[in-house]
Amino acid sequence: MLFKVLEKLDWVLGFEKARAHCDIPCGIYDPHQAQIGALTVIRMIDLMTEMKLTHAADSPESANNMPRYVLVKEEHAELVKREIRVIFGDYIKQEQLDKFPELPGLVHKIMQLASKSRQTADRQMACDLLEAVNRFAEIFWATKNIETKRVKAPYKPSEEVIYPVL
Amino acid sequence: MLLQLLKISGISLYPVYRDGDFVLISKIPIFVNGIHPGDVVVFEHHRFGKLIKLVERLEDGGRSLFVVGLDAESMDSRTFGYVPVNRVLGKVIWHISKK
Repeated sequence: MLFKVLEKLDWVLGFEKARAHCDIPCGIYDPHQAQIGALTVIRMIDLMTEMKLTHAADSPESANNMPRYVLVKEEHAELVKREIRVIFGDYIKQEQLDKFPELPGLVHKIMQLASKSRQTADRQMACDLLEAVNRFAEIFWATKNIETKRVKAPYKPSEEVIYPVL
Repeated sequence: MLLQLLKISGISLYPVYRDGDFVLISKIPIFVNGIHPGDVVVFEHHRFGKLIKLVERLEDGGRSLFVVGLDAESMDSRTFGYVPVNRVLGKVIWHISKK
């Protein structure tokens, strides 16, 4: 009864809200998208390099494709940052930070490498980004006591990635 | 403000406090009796605004609170650290639930 009265009053007055703040408790966390993002950054740099070798800079092909490669590189470097931020901010708790004290530094390194990968077309930088994300994935699966394996991605750029052994 | 009626938004205190429930909060019990583990308090967070959480423990001679939600995905002291007592706007003194 009182609840219904308050609900009606809320319609009229709009009570201030106290947030029982929570992420949607889906519990689905996986660094896979970050790894795909890092691989895509490398692939885009490879395609840019290839384009430079095979087409004149002012050719229609180059004019059309270069901006697309750059755009996808930008988006995927940003995807890496977002995915790592979500796992680090929402999934990782103090217990895991105590167990893996390298995590904050590693996340900071990923953020920086992802930004540098947007600013440049440096393949080595992008490979360093993938390696840092791989290490993050290794730690992530270790927090779940799941073993990992290092395998070559079955698609270009065929760089090594860490997968969980399920 | 000595008394304030607030509506709960979110599920971090589910199943005890549900989304849409109302709470009456007050500072008076804090002045009289202080804050204790098990109290449910509303406080101002610099990033998330007004939050409602359960006090798990007090630290720093009672000047800081470690607050938690009941849901595993709750954003609370496990994520954003201790809450200074001077940020607390009140303790829940009445919970008006839909049920």
